[in-house]
Amino acid sequence: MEIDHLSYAYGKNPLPPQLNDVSFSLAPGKLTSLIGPNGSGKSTLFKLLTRQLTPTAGTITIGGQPVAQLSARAYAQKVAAVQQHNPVYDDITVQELIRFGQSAYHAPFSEQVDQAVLDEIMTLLKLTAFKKQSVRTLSGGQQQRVWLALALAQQPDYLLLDEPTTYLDLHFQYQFLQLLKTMKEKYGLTILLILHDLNQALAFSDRTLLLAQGRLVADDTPKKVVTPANLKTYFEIKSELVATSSGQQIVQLPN
Amino acid sequence: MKKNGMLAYLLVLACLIIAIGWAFTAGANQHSLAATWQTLIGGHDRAYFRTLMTIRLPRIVAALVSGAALSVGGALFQATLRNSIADPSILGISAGADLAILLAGFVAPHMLLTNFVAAVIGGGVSLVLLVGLRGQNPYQLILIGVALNAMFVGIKALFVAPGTVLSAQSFATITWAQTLVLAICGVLGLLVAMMIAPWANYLKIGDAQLATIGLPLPWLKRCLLLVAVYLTSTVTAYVGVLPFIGIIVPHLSRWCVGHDYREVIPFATMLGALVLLVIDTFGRVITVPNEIAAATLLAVVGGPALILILSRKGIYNGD
Repeated sequence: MEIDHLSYAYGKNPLPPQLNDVSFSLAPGKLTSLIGPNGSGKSTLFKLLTRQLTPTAGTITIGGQPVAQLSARAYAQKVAAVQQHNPVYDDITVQELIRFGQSAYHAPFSEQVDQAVLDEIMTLLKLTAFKKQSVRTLSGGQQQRVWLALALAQQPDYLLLDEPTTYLDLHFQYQFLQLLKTMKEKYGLTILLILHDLNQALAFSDRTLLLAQGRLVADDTPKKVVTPANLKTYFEIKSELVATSSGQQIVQLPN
Repeated sequence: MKKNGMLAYLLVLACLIIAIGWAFTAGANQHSLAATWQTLIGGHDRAYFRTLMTIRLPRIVAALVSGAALSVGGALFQATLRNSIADPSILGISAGADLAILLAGFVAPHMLLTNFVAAVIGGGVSLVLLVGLRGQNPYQLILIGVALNAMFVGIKALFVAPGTVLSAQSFATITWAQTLVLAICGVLGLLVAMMIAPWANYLKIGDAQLATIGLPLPWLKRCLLLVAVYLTSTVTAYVGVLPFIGIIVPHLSRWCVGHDYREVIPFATMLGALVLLVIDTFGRVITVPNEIAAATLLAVVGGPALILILSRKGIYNGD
């Protein structure tokens, strides 16, 4: 996936634009994290990539083909997304919801699905036991696995996630990110995920993009992006990186 | 749940058969079931035969089709607008259709299909207004609908003599010709609704997520709303505005067979037919030789039912 000089502005006379001349490419099979302070344009970028917004300038291409030209079905077969906010308006069972992920592969609104694929995903994400339960009766951590399962049922090449761990407690945050890593390796997925927690970005991503004021200001390995200098400049906070006994780097904030 | 669902179907079917039998025999000209059956299969009571065939039968057919169509229309509105009390009679859709019928009478000669065409256009315009005006908040949708409803009823009142604000169309005045149009158009709409019932399930999750799984979302919503408006307006064209049935029956249906619209729509078809036939027949026999309009009885029963739903479940579906 190539993002080329992408810009987006709300309204007609934009000052400043929400996203300003952003270019990068997503390395295949890697987990890339997207970090940045509030209002830096992370969610705007996510909405552009998931075609909820149309860029005011620039292009997004997959294998040389502009995504704007893909049909909804063709796009859904390549790119799946997990939204930050996932409303459920009525009772629906886990297995019914996950079936929706196969919509892009069958005649419009047919009841046909590849049950083997769905069963495998439910097993991997430990959802089989809940498959006949209403999604609304599940805990936050279980619900987040359901949305991930829906996205995986699309059998995509790319998986985009908007702050998927925000509403989870520490245990489920860790479990969810571990799961993403496993899925990446199993299905060869290319993942882009927006993260708030910089330690998670350090621990789980292969690569990190830093957005600030609508511009891409850093694009490198997490250790080179999550630095005290960058945190000072873009998050306006003093910090230091501390090595743990296992050799991992973590961000230490001042008292 | 499946087992209970099966039981519920059988129970409603049995009640439906009993209700049809009751509706045939009951009324100002009351006979036993046996006598009625004898008359129907070739008895000698010509006057009673004529009553059965020209008055009771069309009325029964009209009540069955109308009850089914309004209930299914209501269920589709609730699914698509994601609002548990979205009912065409509350949202102004029925009133818009009713007003359009009156206005069409001024400009076009009264023909069998004038009412139908005017009602569908009126219902459609009301829906476009409602969807165009509504905010993000589910309460705003209902309040705007209530305001539209009051406005349409008010405009109609400007044109008709005082004391005759109720619809000119009703079960009491329906003819065989009107019943046939209602039955054909209604059943067609119901068949389409059953075909697209799985689509209503998609709308249980958010638009942003739906858009990324490869569905033509705006098109899907328009189809569901179009069928809902069509069903509602068709009924309004021939039997007038019937309040609340579009909320009560879908709610009872979800309670009986669960929240999957592939189950809710067929079940609401049967239950809606049953409820309206019972209400209309009850209104017919309770004050013989006079009768109480089904719309009046539905308002009396439906008001408290709506309050119960709102106090127990809130405005989102299944909350």
